[in-house]
Amino acid sequence: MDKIGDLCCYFEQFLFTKYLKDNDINVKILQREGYHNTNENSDLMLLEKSPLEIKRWVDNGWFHFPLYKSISEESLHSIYTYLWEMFNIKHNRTYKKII
Amino acid sequence: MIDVIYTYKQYTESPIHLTDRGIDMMRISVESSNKFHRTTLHCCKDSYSFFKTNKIPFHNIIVLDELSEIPKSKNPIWSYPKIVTMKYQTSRWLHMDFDCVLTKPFIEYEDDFVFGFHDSSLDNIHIHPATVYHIWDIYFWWFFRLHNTDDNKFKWDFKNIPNAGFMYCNNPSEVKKAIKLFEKQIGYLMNWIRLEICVVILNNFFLLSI
Repeated sequence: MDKIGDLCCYFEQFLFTKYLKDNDINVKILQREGYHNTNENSDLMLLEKSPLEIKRWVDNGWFHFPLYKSISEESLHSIYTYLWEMFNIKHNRTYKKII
Repeated sequence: MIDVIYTYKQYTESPIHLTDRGIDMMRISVESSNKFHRTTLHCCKDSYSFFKTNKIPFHNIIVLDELSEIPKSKNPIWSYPKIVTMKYQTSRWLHMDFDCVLTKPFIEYEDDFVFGFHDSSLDNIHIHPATVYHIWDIYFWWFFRLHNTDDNKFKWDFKNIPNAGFMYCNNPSEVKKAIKLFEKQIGYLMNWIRLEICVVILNNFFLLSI
């Protein structure tokens, strides 16, 4: 089933980008820190051991969070707490998950 | 100041990604964007109540019929709804996934279309084997199934592949034209993709049965 998820990446990131370029649309890819494939393993290990290392991404203006990767609940909680405090976000809410 | 836009299409009744942590991240993403920009969600009619009930604090929510009309599926093409949303934009925009976080006001670029980061890049001094494998396993795997034609393969850029979690558009009208062409030309592909998904599911079923 992973291949279907891969297809989304192919479709949206690879094929779509090609069509933009083929239609003379100037496309740029910026170099920003944050989780992505090329640094996936090292960043996940770093966040697992030292969750507040996420601070080094914050100064970049934006980041992509490895939400669906395996990070312990404890590390994840530390990261979320940091972000909740940073943006002054109320938490401990309960959600209605069924649409 | 540009708007930050988001997209959501509900494909199943109980999406597995809607965990407490997943929704917490949605809120962090939207609330951080709200600090600097106006935020708008484009969603299907079925998911509208989810965002209202859980008080995900968008400034504006737009229900797009075209998103509602995408068939529900247990094997969704998650990426297509974002492309649909892009078509409806009339001014410059920044599109973010719910697992992306904006930490400063976004400074705009002169380029027509900007991706915030790579998915993979071979444009480095040192290339990790995992990067090569990733490109092979995802992009070549599907390329050979979808586009193994006599087309000039040098037109296809495998060197720098963007991640679509963070996209900025400075030229919505030209991008809209490109998307309409994209949709026209991928019509046959979408049918093929649906067929391919069935094949992948069947393969997995037989592998599990052995």
